[in-house]
Amino acid sequence: MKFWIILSLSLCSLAVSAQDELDAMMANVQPERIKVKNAFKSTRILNLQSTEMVAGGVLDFRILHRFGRLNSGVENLFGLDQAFVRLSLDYGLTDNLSIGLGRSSVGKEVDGFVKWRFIHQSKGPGAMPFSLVYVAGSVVNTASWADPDRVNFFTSRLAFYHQLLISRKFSDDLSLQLSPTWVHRNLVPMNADQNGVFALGIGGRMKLTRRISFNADYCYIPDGQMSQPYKMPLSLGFDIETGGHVFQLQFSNALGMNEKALVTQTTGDWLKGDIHFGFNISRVFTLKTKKAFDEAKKTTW
Amino acid sequence: MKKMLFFLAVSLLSTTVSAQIFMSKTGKVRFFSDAPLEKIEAFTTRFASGFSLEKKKLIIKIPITSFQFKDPLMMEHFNENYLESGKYPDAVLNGIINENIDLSKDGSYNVTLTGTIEMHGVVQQRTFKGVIKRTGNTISIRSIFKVKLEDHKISIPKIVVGKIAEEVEVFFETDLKLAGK
Repeated sequence: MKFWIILSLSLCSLAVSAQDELDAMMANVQPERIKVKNAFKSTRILNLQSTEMVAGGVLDFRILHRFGRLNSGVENLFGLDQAFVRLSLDYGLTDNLSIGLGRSSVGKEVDGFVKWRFIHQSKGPGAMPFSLVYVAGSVVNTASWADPDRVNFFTSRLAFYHQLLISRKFSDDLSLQLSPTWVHRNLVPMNADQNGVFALGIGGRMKLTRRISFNADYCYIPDGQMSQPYKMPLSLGFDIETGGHVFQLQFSNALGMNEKALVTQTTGDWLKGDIHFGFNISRVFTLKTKKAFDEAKKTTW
Repeated sequence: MKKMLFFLAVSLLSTTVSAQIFMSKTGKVRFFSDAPLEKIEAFTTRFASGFSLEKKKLIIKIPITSFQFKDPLMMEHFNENYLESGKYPDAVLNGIINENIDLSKDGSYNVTLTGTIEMHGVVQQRTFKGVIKRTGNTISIRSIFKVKLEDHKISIPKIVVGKIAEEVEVFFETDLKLAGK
């Protein structure tokens, strides 16, 4: 009896070893933690910052263009007669830290920001479900004083904003983002206005093909912070990628092309047709070779 | 009882024989696309390979995202538009050496390996040429081969024709160590 047990056991072990042990061992190789990249095609969803970063050593030249309102009639070619522009340069100091400087024709505003990704969504062992990015910026209005006769302070031109971007790439096609935003204006139009305005940005993208996606972003702005009439900015559009360029075509009730203007100065009403057609063009230039590439090349070749 | 011990010994022996497996988590891979308008190369050192001495079987598994490019945009396009690493995360080579060689002792051999290569979700039957070398507890494997993008359903859009070669050259080298049991 004992003999048969041992025999069957040994046959059993034979059978196991005859199975492909190599396959089993390869399957057991611990996968490395992999960063989930390209949640968005561009560093902006449309008007909101996205959790995408300019890679280290890369310069991103962006041209933002907004036309007038669609409902301005055929006389103005549905807004195409008017044009507003923001030109900017974003530069990646590292893969996770970038700086940017831009200038908008609306309000003659210069804005600068620092963007830091401190958590990158990843999969594998120790995976992080989200990417977290912090953006801090300031906006300087450089237009001449509305009332030059009174005592004007330079600080009155300034506004600041802080943003936390929380995004998740749910699948290759779908990414969603939340961006709680705090804008502080040093000077507000009325006594009833709060200097600080809180807004909750919501955005996402859905890929339609490998190179085209549908994007949307929206800001929810709770009542009681601003005295003058305002609307929640809503933008709908498409990313179109063609090699080194990303084009973003969009329709939005917002005209502001920096965070302060977007949150506090959007007055267009989608339902009345106060919609601006616009586009963003992003062209990236690689100024520095990737360090990881140099290292891999040195070891390999 | 003697019989029983014999069976036991045989079964133990067979397990030790089959345990001759060599593994590695690093190595060198370079791929090179030599197109008229642009030369693109990428490297990785982080991939897994395993070799079974008994079966003369080799498996290499390379995470697509581990390839490093000179230009981050190239890396993005490689992953997003061409290899679609989100859907097909690994390239896998799986094959058996055709030649009757004895790798239980030191020696170097030119060999051919027949099996499959899986990339971009497409499995192709292939035969590769390479060199295999045993030195002590290490088995080194080197090979250079070509991969046709078309064979793996990797399409080149018209606007980048002339910038990406229709056939890319792959070089790999890895030193596998006898896996401890």
